[in-house]
Amino acid sequence: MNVSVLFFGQITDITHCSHTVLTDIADTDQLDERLHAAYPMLKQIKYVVTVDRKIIRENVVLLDNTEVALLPPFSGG
Amino acid sequence: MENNSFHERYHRQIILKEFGTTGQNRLKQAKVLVVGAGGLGCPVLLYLVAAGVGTIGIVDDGLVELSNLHRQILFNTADIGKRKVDCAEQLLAKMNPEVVIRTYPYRMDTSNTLDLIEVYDIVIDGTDNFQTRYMINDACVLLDKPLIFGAISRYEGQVAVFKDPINYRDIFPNPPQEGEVMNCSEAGVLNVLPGLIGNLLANECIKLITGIGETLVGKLQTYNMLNNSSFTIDITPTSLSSALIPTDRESFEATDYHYLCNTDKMFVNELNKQQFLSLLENEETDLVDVRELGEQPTLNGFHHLRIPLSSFDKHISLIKKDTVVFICQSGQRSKLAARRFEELINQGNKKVFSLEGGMLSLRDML
Repeated sequence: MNVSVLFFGQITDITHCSHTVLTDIADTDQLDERLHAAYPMLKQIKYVVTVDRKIIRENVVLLDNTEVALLPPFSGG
Repeated sequence: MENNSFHERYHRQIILKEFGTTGQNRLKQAKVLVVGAGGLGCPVLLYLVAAGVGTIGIVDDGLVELSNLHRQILFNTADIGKRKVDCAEQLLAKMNPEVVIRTYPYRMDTSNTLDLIEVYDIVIDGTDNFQTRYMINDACVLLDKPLIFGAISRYEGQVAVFKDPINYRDIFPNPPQEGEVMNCSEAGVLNVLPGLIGNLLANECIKLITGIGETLVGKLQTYNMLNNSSFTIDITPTSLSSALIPTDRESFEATDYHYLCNTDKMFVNELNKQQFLSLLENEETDLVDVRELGEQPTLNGFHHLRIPLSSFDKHISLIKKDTVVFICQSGQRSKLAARRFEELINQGNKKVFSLEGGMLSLRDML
């Protein structure tokens, strides 16, 4: 089972990539754990998580080929 | 005669079937407030004025600086040191004398924001800090005004249109802490990015006024200029967001937006340049540059460690001395690093500082 994860803005400073594929992840809580273990600095910053381009605020079950994105706020003008 | 020149000036857009004279008249009736005459504000103003929006307000308390000119295309070299709103007004009035331009050469705060916004139909946020962004968002919710939001980060930009029942807090309910997100002076920006994003904002504004096409109401679009991709998400209203927004003028004016986005909560000891130099002279100090590898300029002439914030936790053990000073580009991320360092390993037995103003304050020494 593959979940595609996209990173935006300064999050790519932490992940050093804008896209990764993770396997065997049941839900977004587990995804959070996995990402926090791989990139501890993610715990320090604010971002919103989307699943198939909708913002989620609670744990969501992930199906095969789901697209997840981590979007931070931008402030520059 | 006036009617003739009106038609001639806007002829190419009036002949668009969906737009027509109706669209042009709607633009003429409209009042738009543009907050921030910077990288985003400049293209927004140019295009809205050229398009014939009837009344345009410009809020900015800044002066033109040399480092603005590569992207803030309303200004030229002779404008350096002058008020941005004055330079903008002068140029825009020449461009289209039919547009009424009002300038507000001060910073928006909770005491003036509601009165300012109240007389406009639409607000465009092209500011560069969260404190003002959250304040404008809340004010627009309170006054039920549509808000067109634009923000940039290096090679990417975000665009959204907020309108009842959706607002910025439905994406990010609370502001990030100062230092958590870099602004353009820290992160850098390629000049065409605000040009592109600013034009997207002007486009949303024109569509919103004239009713043509589809707007980004309820959506947040992220555009990446390096690969031309855009990523659009749906925003849904949240109860959390409405709970956080002041519900009347009194509570709005009493809200401390500075505190909400701010460092007062961080308790980091900061050094100014003088204190920093004397500390380095008098104490064995680990100076730690927390910028990402490759960020310019390099810290030449100072013995230092490089621990980018992105891999900070992993390399934190490189810091050995009893006095530690963190440094970054402008003094924001270094505060975050100092706080993290305190959290992770320091139990108060080391002296931890952040250099106020960062590399920018040492400019004349490098």
